[in-house]
Amino acid sequence: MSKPVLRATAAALLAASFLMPSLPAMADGTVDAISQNVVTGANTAIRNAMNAAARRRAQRVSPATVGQVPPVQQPATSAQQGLPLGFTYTLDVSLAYPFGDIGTYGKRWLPGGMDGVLGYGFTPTSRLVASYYEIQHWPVGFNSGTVPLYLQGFATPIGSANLGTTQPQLDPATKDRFFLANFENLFVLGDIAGNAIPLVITPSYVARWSKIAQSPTNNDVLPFEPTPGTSVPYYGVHWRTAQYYSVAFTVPFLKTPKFFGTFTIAPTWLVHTAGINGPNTAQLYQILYLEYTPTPTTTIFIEPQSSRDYLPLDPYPQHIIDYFAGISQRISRYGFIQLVLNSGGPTNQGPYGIRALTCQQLPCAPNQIVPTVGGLKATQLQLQIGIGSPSVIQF
Amino acid sequence: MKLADTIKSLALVAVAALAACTGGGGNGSIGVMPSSPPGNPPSNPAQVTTTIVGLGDSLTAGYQSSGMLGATTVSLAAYPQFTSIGLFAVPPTQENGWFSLFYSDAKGMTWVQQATPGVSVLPLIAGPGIGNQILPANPADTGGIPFATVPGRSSCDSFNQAAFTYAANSTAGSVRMNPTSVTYDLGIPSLTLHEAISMYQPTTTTCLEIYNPPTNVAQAEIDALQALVGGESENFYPVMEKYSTPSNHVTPLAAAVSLHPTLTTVWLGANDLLKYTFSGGTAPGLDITESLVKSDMTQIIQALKHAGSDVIVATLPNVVETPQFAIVGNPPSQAYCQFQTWLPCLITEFTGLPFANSEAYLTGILIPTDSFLAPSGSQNAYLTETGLITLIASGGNPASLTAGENGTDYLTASFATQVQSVNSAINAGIVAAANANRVPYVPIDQIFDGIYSGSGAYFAAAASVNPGKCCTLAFGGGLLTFDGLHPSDSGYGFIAQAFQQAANSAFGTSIPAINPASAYSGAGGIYASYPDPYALH
Repeated sequence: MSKPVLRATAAALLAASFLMPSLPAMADGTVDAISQNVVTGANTAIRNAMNAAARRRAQRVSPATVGQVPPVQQPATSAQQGLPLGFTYTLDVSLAYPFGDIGTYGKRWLPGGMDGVLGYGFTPTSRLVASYYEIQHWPVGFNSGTVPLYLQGFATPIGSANLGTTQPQLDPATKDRFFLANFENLFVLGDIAGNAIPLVITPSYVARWSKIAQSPTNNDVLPFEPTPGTSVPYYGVHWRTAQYYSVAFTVPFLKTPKFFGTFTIAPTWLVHTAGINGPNTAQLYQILYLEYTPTPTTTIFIEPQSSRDYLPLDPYPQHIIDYFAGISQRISRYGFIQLVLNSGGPTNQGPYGIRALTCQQLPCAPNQIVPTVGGLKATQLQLQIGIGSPSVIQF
Repeated sequence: MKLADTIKSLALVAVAALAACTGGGGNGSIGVMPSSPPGNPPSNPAQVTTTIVGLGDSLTAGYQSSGMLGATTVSLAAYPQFTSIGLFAVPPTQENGWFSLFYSDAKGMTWVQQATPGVSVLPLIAGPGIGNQILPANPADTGGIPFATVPGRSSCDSFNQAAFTYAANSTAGSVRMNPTSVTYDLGIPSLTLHEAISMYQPTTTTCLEIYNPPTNVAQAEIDALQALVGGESENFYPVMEKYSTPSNHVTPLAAAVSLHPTLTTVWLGANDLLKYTFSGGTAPGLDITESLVKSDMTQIIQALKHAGSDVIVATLPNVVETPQFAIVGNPPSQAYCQFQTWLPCLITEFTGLPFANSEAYLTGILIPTDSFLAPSGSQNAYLTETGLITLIASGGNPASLTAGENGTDYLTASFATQVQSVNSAINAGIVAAANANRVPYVPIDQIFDGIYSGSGAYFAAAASVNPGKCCTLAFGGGLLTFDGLHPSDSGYGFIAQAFQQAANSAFGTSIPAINPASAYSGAGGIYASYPDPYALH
């Protein structure tokens, strides 16, 4: 593998390592896992393809043009034609601090866990990537506020309960884990006004599972009741375990020496329905990515999204509007640091957090309390520190 | 009030009431079904009765006189005062319920078969039974008291407590005689309309008062809830043991659907009304508006129809027409004492006072002293059985009734109006759901109204069972048992007859006629082979 190719690969993977762990900000994270991973890979391919086209044009005009040193998330301008070739990998760790009303358990840094990425590029137009992420977060409003209290079998509330004082207090802190497998395919559609128009199509598989702090079984199995007072509670359903298929289409809309932007649309399906999931129709994720690189080692980016999250607790997908906004800085040849503010919540499923408790049996002991879960919303600041493998990150 | 006091007082009242029942004349037939909305076109009448399921409460369960019992072998040999009952020392109740009669009639079964474990489709309760039955007894043996509860029992004895616990679908530990049998009577005493959809386990685990409420819920509220949910919690597993385990979460509706019925009777809502009434209107979570009733009843009907079942529903009686409630007022004439429960009638029968004196006591002493018993316009207040017993036990001392016991000792006139308003709303919701889903309904309210009125075909049919002795809605009139709410064998006979006629009318079935007089006399076959122990003979 040539040095320029390695450099491009390193930058691309570093970018991936920056973006992919920034998952916890979202209301839930599934869509973000998909979008960040898919978008990052696609962006790398698109950027390289467009740079290569620019080089070809420049070479025709002025063979003496010097390639620009890339920002930390941007592969170096090199001979890379598209996707990185050969093996690529990276590792990183992260921390997150929550904002908003996250109840009595919140307001402290959470370890985000460790993330790993392994990819293999077969050709400049095809690459296989496998990724694993760990994140923690607190959805807003989960264990605070006063909610109606039902008794099983009663159509209307029998009283109210303060989530902050109900014993035991509900601890919704979760540690979510994701596994993603992407097969990235780069197509160059041809020149428009002298510019190459790359398109990346990325079939993906996503599996997610979780541990919820409150879970007595050390996983994400907790009882919940879909509709308070009118339904039978579920006792054996994983709250945050699901699998998805997705096919993402990514195209560029902006490319200058300092700005770069893409748009991704990704129909996604559940591999299978679970819990109280309803019809499994295609959900269209839409991601806009825009970055600015003021210096070769600094990148500022914003990434608004319209997502569809579909967990076993949801009868239908949550329509989540969210965003990522961040700045990343390379601090050494192999190291980087990134700060990301992210926030998101559903627009079609409310109220947020736990919206009711149902006492299943009198005496109303703590193990008889079953929550009804509303929309999931989260806002937090994430600090990420990454170290790239020397065999991958080369400049 | 202690149960013993209650029974003693009830006995005194019953003497008066039973003596007052002189019956009525007439030869009308209750078999005339008032017009009801058209039901589903009977697809194949011969198949409608293939699998019959009853979804309901204590009325469908065959509850009588504060108890539920399937066993026919409960002996009270040690208590000779009960020997006058007849064939059984403690009469079984479930086999005499309207659903048992209706099912047996439609399916060609007998009373004896319904009492036999392994054959019966009823969730037969072993002796001594859930609750504590108030039984008729020989006054000569009991010092003039014509009935009493079973000695040594209480509402929270070991048998009743055992009913709260799932018995692993086996005889061991079960209060059921046939815990492994598939049963088709899913009547759960105390069940509310909404609970039929959503209840999947006892809501409380004990008949004892042990609380551990979540914060922000007042202890008084939990106390009230415990009392409110005790009945259905006690009766849930005994009825649902075959279908609902502590882990599979099967509701009564889901159990009914699982049986793949071809015809389901749905009679619910009575406990929403009673819990509203006896809590003074404070009980939460009840279906007491037309919209709530319609919504829940529609959900039930549609679930059953989706499962392939024809459905027939029924309205509720006007609860203040039952002898559980004595009208605090003077009747238009003493003749009304024969078919309605008026307080002066009971005072006269109890004290031997001239009727005019009883009326004078009411209007001159009781009502002026206890202003909460005053009428409001044309609406009278009511004494509940508890209040009536309290008053009689005190020798008529008005101070024995205290303000603040609305729903327990009495219903004020204004609250009685609310109760009847809720009663009407529930019936409106039932009828609206029936109409919206094109299923027939049995107008039980009209039947009771007719009997209560003292005239017309319904009254004539009831009063002619044994003219002068049975049957009317007055206390001791033979249609209801000693708890004042649950029908006697004869009363269940009338209800079974109404369902049978409604089914034949709506679905074109040929279910044989049911004769309430046979239930009264104990004619055998689908009926008991002993006389109705709750009616005069």
